[in-house]
Amino acid sequence: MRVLLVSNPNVGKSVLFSHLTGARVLASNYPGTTVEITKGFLKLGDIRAEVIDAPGTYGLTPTNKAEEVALELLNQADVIVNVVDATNLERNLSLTVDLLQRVKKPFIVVLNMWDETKHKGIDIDIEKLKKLLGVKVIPTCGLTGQGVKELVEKIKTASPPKDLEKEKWSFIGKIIERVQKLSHRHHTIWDILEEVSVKPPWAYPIAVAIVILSFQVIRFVGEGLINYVFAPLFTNFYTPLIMKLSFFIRKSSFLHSILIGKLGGGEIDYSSAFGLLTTGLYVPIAMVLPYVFSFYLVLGVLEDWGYLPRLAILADRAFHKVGLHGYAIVPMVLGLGCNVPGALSTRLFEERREKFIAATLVSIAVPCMAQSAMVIGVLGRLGGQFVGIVFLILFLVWFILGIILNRFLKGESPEILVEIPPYRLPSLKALYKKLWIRLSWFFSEALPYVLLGVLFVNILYYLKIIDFLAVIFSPIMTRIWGLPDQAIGALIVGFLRKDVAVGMLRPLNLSVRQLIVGVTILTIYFPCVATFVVLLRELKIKDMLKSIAIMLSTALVVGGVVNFILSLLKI
Amino acid sequence: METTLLQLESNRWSKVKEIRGGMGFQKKLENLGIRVGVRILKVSQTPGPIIVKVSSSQFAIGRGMASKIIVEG
Repeated sequence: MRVLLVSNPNVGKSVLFSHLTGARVLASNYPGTTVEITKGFLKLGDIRAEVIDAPGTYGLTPTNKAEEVALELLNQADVIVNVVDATNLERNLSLTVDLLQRVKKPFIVVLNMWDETKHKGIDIDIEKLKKLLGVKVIPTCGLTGQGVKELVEKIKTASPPKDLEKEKWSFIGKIIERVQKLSHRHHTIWDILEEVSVKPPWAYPIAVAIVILSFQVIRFVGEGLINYVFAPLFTNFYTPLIMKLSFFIRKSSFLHSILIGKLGGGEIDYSSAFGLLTTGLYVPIAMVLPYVFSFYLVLGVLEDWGYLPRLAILADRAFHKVGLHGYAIVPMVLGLGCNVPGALSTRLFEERREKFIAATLVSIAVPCMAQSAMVIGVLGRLGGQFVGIVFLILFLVWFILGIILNRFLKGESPEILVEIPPYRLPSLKALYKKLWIRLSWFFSEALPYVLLGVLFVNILYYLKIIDFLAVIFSPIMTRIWGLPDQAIGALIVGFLRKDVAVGMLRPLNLSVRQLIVGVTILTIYFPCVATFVVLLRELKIKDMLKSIAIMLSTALVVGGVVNFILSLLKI
Repeated sequence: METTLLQLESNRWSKVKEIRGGMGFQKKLENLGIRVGVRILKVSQTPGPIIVKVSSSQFAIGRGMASKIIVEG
């Protein structure tokens, strides 16, 4: 049996889904993330029912890909569960009535956000609504899971709808008139906050404050975890183990250099030893994971609280300059965590041009958290201002390149049309689940690549391939970018993992200027292989080749310009 | 009197009289609950999109789109 959950965006359907299935699913507050369908299973007595979380849709005449997917799913389902935001009955009923008129399958209407109706002075007569719609209606609350049990019990006995009145809006008008009573209520603090955060002039300083605060929290939590948890764990417990292991393996053997790497004076410098058991584990776990964790924690709160769409609105004008609209902030912010979801979310754009610009900008100028963590780790110890310079350069590249692309690519930038969800208290359960999926993704996808990267580095050095390539690329590396020949190794490994690549710059004893140029080029020149695969699928070969040409030439130019300007500034 | 949603002052309730533009555009707005005859509040005007409220949902609408929505002035 297949049960399909279908609804408008932003009604808490995904949270309800996670209650139904207990599966770990992604639930967020902005439309677009559920384009990928999530499935789970639910035990109904002795049958195992498949539960499908359809992408949010406003109507049955699809206006984008996500809505098309939702329609296809309707045909395959055995039971339809239509989730309705009880605080927004009239708008939501539009989809409900469309569905009831078209789909003659067992049908249940779920009135979600039921608890909020009381605060909002909305009174809905469920019995009357049942009668008018001709199907079962069940009130639920996604935050607490109230009503979920009743829903599960009724799925098996749900019946299909009868014929309804043909004229949709007059029918909905009639329902609202008979079923819903609104009482006046005073503005709550939430209403005031909602209003202020999209109304100029105060909206801007608030946005700046929230963004700065978010980055401070990410840094504080990330640094705290490194300094007080992970670094001590490694030094106190792991280092003695490795030292013992090193004692038993011959120092000059290939095995020693692959597993443990270079040991300087009996000490382990984890970020430059380059063994599988040293750098290969230390970089992802003790340097990158703490920042990835804190980034996704903060992002999850911003998403579920409902602030991101507001930031999109405020950024809309700036994004128009680069040929996108405000909602393109979603791929950019996701890209700051990891470029893969950033590139995936360019799906939410319908135009090929928009998609191309957004994907190209994400992969060129948005450093992922793994890379940022390493930049903070490697460059930050020489001075926080240098990390700031790198981010400033990347921002300028993003903006200038965007303006150029917008100027020379044919077509116009489309406009924003988006629902602004109300602020909601994030559900801890949903936050925890989302963080868990994202972190387990990091372990299953990123960790193997890091190890592979470290292994690859050893083989390249062992076979002297890096020395060979260093000679070939020497003119670009030294003359234009002012980097030593050997830095080519970092660029090669950067195809696999950017964090490992930044780590490779460490043993080269680079100056501050060289480090800034190096990490900037590493961000720009090419996406890591995981992002590359996604981009290829999303953009198709022709646009991908164009995008790569832009990446390589941008890296060449920006590297040269930054090197030149920094040398003038005597950095 | 009629005006466009773009020109309407902020903090004013009005009523949608006409939506100019193709069927696709009209359908898109109708799905959001923005259709001829509904009451609409212009909440604010940012330098980018305008913010409106229809029944209890809020939307951000680009300026070009807002200029195609004719309301009572």
